[in-house]
Amino acid sequence: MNFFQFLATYAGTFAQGALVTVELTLCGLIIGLILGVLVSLMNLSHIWPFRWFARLYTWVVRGTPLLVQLFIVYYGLPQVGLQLTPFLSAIIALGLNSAGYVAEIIRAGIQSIDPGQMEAAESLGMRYGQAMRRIIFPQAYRRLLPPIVNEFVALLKDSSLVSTISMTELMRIGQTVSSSTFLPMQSYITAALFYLAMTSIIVFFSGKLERWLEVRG
Amino acid sequence: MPSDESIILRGRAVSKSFGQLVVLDGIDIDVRRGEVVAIIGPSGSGKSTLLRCFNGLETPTSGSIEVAGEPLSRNRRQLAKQREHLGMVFQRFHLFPHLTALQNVMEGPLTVKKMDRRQAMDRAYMLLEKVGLRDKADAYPSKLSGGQQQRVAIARALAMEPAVMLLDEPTSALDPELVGEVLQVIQSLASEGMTMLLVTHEMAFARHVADRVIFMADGKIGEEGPPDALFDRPQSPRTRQFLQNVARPAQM
Repeated sequence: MNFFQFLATYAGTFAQGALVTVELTLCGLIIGLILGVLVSLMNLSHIWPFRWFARLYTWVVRGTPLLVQLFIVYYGLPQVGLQLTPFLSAIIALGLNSAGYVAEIIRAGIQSIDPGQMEAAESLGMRYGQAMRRIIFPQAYRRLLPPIVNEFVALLKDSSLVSTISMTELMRIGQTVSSSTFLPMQSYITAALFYLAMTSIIVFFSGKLERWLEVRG
Repeated sequence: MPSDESIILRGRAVSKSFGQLVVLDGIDIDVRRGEVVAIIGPSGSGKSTLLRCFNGLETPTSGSIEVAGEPLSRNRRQLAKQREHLGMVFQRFHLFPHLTALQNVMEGPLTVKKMDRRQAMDRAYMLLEKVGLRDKADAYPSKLSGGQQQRVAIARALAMEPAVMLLDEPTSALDPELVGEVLQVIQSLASEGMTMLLVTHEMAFARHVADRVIFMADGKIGEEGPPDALFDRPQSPRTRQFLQNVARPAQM
């Protein structure tokens, strides 16, 4: 069987796995974005326990491997009575992990805005929240797009780790096909091509989005 | 001391240090309603810091700041309320770059005063007209010259109908040929009776527009008085030396 015959036979199977990978990544990213915004706001807060918590959170999450975090959620939590499905475990671990990175991206983006902007907003009588919402965020979000897209791409690739907790996503499909056909090279190259196609699509559309935002002023 | 209704800004024994560095050292200052007060003095004399203390952008290490008879609040919400009455103009303009000139001027009334959009827009057009920039209403700040940006910034501050304008070296960041248009706007505000506290390096302008001039050096008030007296007959040697230096800036 040459590579094209291999592809013709198994492309559908790999596509199913890729679909699961997309679901995992999107769910993880949504959780990561929501929690990441919360953690970054805590980090910028005037209330020190919030700040303290946010720093602890990003320190732990970014300082430990995702695989370890995944195992704690999937294998560790049942020990304290919390048995989650592989899918739930996967998106929770991916979400909690990316939240740490997203929080740092947002914090850096907000802090990159000239402090004079906050002074000008507050001088008009705006409260802190109003100034953030009306003046700081609208300037920060354009700067956030490129690093958030990087995070999206990294998350998609990292989602391959959840193959270890018996989620049948793209990587797991690669392993399964490999062991049933005894063609590891073809199997993993096909998986790689699917990953490459998905990350390329993300990068392509984010480039479009970036230019569109620029054109709008 | 009985409170004097006519005093809008009052500072008493205002001191400010950053670590070991003493920037303000026991300043007493009053600004009355309708008065234009110019603060002059060498760089690093604490002029801008003093101005910024009046709207809470800096907090004095000791001493008191009162606006319209009320001490400046440490509570953020109350401070925001008090700031509505204080128009601030910055050396570097700080226009909101994601908003057009018109939107910059509308932002305060819309967000803080919850003014009706139509009304806010009418007022913003009127204020842009006043600073001579009605035709630039839809331009983003990046498309405006420094002088135009500063005029929009003045209109933005005026939109809140402040009781006092605080101007922090409003022409120092401008190319020389753009200084005039900004000074003209400030001059017209003065002639309308707007109360102003102005930090400036433009001596001729300070003399022309101010009712009173304060000379600051080393965090203290060195001398103050009517412009003619201070510029023509400076009493302290420090003032005399400063005025001589600025009169002959080109001397090598």
